[in-house]
Amino acid sequence: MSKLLRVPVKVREGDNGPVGFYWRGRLRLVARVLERWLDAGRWWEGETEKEFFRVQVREGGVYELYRDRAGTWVLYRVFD
Amino acid sequence: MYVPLHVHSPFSFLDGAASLRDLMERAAHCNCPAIALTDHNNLCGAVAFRREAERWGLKPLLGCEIDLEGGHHLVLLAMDEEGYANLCRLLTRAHLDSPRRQPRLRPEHLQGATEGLLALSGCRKGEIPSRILSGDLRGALEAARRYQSAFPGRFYLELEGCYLPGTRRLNDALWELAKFLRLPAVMTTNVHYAFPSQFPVHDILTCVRTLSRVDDVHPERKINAENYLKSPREMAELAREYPGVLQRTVEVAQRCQPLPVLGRLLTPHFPLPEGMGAEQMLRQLVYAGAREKYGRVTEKVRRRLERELEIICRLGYQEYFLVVWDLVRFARRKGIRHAGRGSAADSLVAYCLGITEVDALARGLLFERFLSLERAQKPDIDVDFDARYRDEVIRYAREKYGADRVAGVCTYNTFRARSAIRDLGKALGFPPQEIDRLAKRFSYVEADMIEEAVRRLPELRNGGLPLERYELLFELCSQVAGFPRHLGTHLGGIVIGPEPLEGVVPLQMAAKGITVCQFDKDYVEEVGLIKLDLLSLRTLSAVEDAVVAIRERHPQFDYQQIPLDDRETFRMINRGETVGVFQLESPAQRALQVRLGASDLEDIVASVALIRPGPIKGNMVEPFLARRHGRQEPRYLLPELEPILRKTYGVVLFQEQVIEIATTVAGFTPGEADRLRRAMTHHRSPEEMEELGRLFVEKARRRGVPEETAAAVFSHIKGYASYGFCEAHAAAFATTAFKTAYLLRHYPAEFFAALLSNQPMGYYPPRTLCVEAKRRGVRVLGPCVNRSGSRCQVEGRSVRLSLGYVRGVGPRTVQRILSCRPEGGFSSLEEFWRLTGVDGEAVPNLILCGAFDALDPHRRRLLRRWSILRSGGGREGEPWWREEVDGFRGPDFTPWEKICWEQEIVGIPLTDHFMACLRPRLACEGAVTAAEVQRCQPGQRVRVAGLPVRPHRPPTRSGRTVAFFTLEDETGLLEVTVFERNYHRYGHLLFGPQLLPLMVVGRVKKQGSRNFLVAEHLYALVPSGRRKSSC
Repeated sequence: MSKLLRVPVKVREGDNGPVGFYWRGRLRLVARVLERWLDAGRWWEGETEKEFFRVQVREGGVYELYRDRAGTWVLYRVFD
Repeated sequence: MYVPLHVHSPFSFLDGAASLRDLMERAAHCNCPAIALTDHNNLCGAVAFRREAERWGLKPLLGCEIDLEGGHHLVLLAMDEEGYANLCRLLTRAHLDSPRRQPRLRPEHLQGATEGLLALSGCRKGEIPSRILSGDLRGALEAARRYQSAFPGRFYLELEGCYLPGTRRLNDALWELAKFLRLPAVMTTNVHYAFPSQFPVHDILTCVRTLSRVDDVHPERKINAENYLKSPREMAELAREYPGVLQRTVEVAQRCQPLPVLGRLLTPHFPLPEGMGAEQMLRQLVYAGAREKYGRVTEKVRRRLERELEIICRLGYQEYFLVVWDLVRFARRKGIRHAGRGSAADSLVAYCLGITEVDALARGLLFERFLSLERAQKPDIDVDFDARYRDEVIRYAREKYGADRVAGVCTYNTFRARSAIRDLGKALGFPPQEIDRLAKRFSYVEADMIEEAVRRLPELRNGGLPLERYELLFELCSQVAGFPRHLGTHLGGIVIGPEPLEGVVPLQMAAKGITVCQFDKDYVEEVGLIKLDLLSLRTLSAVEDAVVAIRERHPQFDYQQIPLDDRETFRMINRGETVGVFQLESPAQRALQVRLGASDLEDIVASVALIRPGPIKGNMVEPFLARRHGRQEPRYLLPELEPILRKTYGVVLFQEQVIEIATTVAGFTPGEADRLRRAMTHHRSPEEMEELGRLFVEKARRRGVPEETAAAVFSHIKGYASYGFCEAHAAAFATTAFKTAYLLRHYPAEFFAALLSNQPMGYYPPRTLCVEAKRRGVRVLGPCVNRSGSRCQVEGRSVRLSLGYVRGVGPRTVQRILSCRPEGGFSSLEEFWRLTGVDGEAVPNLILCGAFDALDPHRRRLLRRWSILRSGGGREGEPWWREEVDGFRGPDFTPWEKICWEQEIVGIPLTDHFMACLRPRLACEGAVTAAEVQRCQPGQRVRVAGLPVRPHRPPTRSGRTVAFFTLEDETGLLEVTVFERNYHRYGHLLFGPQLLPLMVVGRVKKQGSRNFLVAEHLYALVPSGRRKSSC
C-alpha cells in the first residue's frame, strides 16, 4: 500500500541521487536507492521531465521522490 | 563504441518516430560502426535502410522484432543469406498463419528455420524479461534454455538502458541469468527515435496506434524519452555495472553480413515446350507476330527485331517477355479488352507479341528508353485491362505459376496533411467534428507544408482558422510528414518469382484477400524480382460496353478497325468537344485542341504529352503551337537535332528525344543518357543535373561541337525538367484517345451509356456528363423500375440510367428487381413490393428519384402509399385505401424539390438542371447561359451562373497561382479562369469545404473557336450551410 504526498522537501544530494531528505521535521537518511527512473510527464501541457528515485531509508521505510528540471525536489509517495 | 542492435524506424508503422536518415546520421555521429533495423513484423524498410546506412558509412544489420504466440516479442537478426531467407519465411508464416494484421509466430515455426539467425531476448515484452518482471524466475530460466536450444551459440540476453521503473532489478536478474547459463548479454535502448526531443512524436503515434488520447493511460505508452539512440558515453554509463555488454554488440555486428543482397536477377520461369529453349520460343512468337502485323518481314523489321532480341536475351529477360505474352494471350482468348502502355511501347518485340498496340518501328521509337544493356533498371511492362476482369488475369497467373510464386506489391501509405490532422488531432483530444472539418480543408497538402498552406492559400488564410489552437497539432504533423502510416496494395503491380517468394521477401495478406510482398514497387526490383503492372482501366470497360451496344445495331462493327484518320472525329476534337474522351477530356486539353487543330494521330500523341506540368512550366506549349501552324520557324541549334525534333517542330517533348539528343550530340552511352532522363524526372537533383551538364558539354566538345552551342542545347534539355512524357506511353494513350473520340462522335448514345455504366472514371462527374450528353442530343433518362437494367443502356436516342444509380439499391437488390420483374413490368407499388420484397431505404429512394413515375408520377402520394403499405395498414381497393391514398389531393414535390432529391439520391438532377429552375430569376439579373457566352464578342462583360466543377490550380509558367474551373448550367459547360488577384479574393468559394452554385462576372475571351471567361467577381448563389435538398 502507498500514499501519494506530492510535497516539496529539502534533499541532500549525492553523486547518484538523494542521500537524505527532510520530512516531518526529521532528516531521513537513505540506506539505498532501490530504483531510479525518468518520467516525461504531461509534455503536451508543457510539463517537463522528472527524475524519480525509490529509496529505502535507514529506519526501513520506502519512499519515492522526484527532482524536476528546475532542481526542485518533491516527496511523491510513501509506502507503508 | 557500441552497435545499436534494437532499432525501430517509421516502418514499424506508428511506432518509429525518426526517419531512417535521422537514425543513420545520429549513429554515424556517435561513431557506431554498424546499426541494426528491427521493425515490428516486417522488413519493409530493408532496402532503404541498407542504402541509407551505407551512405553514412554504417554496416547495415537486418532484422525484425517478431510477435510470438502468447504475445511476447523476439528480436531476430539475419547473419547471412540463409538467415535472411529464413527471416522472410518466418515473417511470412507469422502473417499468413494468423488473422490479418495480427501476425504471430508459433513455436513449431521456429523448428528447422533458425539457421543463419541470431536472436535477442527483446524488450520488456520479450518472454524472459516479462517473466522476470512478473516474478516468474523459474519460467524465465526455462524460456532462456529454450531459446538457447533453438538458437545454439546465437542467443543473447538483452539488457535495457531506458531508466524505467524496475530497470535495475530486471538488468540484475538478466545478468545473473547470463552468468548461470553462460549466455552472452548485450545492452540496447530499444530505439524508437534518434533524439529525446522526438519523444512527443513517438508518444502521439502510440496514441494513434492504440486509439487512445494523450490524457489516457495506456500500457503501450512509454513513460520517458529514453528510447533514443544514445551516445557511447551515455551507454557506457548505463553499462557500468555489466562489463562487456557493449563490446558484445560489436561482436554481434561482426557476425552479420550486410543484407539484403541487392542487384540480383530473379526472373520468372515460363513453362516451355519439350526441347525448346526460352529464346527459341520467343523468337518464334515474335516473328510469327511480325508476319501477322506486316505481312512480310522486311530487312528493316528484321534488323530492329534482332537488335531488341539480342538485348533482351543478353539481359536474361526472355522468360519475362514470354510470361507477359502469355497473360495477354489469356486475356485475348477470354475476350478481355487490354492495352499495353508505358515505355514497353518503345519495343517492336512487344508490338509483335501483341502486348502493345504501338508500332515502335513506324514511330521511330527508341528501344533504349525501355531497355538497354547499360541501364541498371529492369523492364517494367504495364498492361491495362477492362477493370471488371483484371483480377481474372491475376488469378490465371496464380494458377499457372503457383500461388506461392505470385504476389502483389505493396505501397506505403504515408502521412499527408489530412491524415496527420485526423489521426494526431484525435489523439490530442480535439472533438471529432472539429478535426474532420479542419482536415477537409487541407486536400493535396503535405503534412510539413500545413503552415505554409495556411499562409499561401486564400481559402485557408481567409477561412478564420484559430491558428494558436492548432499550433502543437501542426508542429507534430510536420514531424510525421512522409512517415509510413500503413501498408497498402499497389493497384496492379505483381511479381512472379522463379522460386517460392517467401524465401526472397516476406509476404502478408492484404485487405483484398491476396498476398502481397512487404516491399514496394522499387524495393522488389532491388532484391532481384521483376514487377509487371496489370492495371484496371475503366475506359476499357466503357469501350467494351459501348462496342457490345453498338454491335446490337451494327453487328459488323470492329473496334480494332476504327480508322485513325477519320475526319469527322478530328473535326469534333478540334471544336474541343471531347468531354468523355480518354486523355482529352480536361479543360486544358480541350482548350489545347481548339488551338492545335489536330489533323493526324501525331497531333494527338503530342497533345497527350503537352498538357503536363513539365511542358507547361517549360514554356513548350506556345512555341509548339506557333510552329505547328507555321507562324514560327523551328530553329535547330545543330543540324543533328532536326531529325530528332522534327516531328515536334523543334520542341523537346518526349523523354526519348532527350536520350537521342544526348546520344547524338554528346555521344552519351545509353546508360548515361538514361541517367540524364532520370535526373530530370524522378530524382530532380540540381547537383546531379549540374554534373551531367558538365559531362554533356565536355563530351559534345570532344565531338567538335562548340562549347556555347553544347551549353545552349543542354539548357534546352534542362528547361524541360519536372516531368516529361515517354513518347511510347503518349502514343499508346493517343490511340485509345482517338478511338474513344471516334465512338463519341459516331455512337454518342452507346458511348455515354457505357461511360455512365462504369463510373467513377474520367475527369467529370456523371452529372456533368449528362449535361454534355444532352447538348449532343442524347437525353439521359432516370432509373425506372420497369425499364432500367443492371447497367445503363440505350433507349432509342436516349440513355436510361441503371437501377444501381439509386442510393441504397446495391447489386443484389438490382438483381432481385430484375429477376422478379414481370414480362410487362410492375403494375403497382404494391405488386413491386410483393414480388421483390425490397425494403429499407431502397423503395423511398426509388420513389423520390422518379423510378416509379411510370406507375404514378405523383411522388408524394406514392411515398404516402409506401408508408401505409409498410406499416401493414390496408390494401389497394379497400375503402380506407381509396380515401387515404387514392383520394390524396395534396400537391406533389415542386420541380426544385424533385431535382434536389434526385441529386441527393442519384447524384444527377433528372427532372431538370438546377440552373434551369433558377433561370427566370437569373435572367432578371442579366445572367446569360453557358451556350449564349459562345455567341458573345470577345471583351464583352457578362454574368453567368452555374455549378463549379473540378476547380484546380495547376503549375503555371509564371509561377503565379491561377485557378481554373468549369461552370456547368443546363445548356452546357463554360471554362473560367481566375487570375491571381481574384483568386486571393474569391479562392475560398472554389476550394472551401463546400462547393456552392456561383454567379461569375467576367470578360469573354476567345481561344481558337471557343469562348471562355476570365472572372472578375464571384459570389455564391445560396448561403452556405443550407442543405441543397431542403431547397
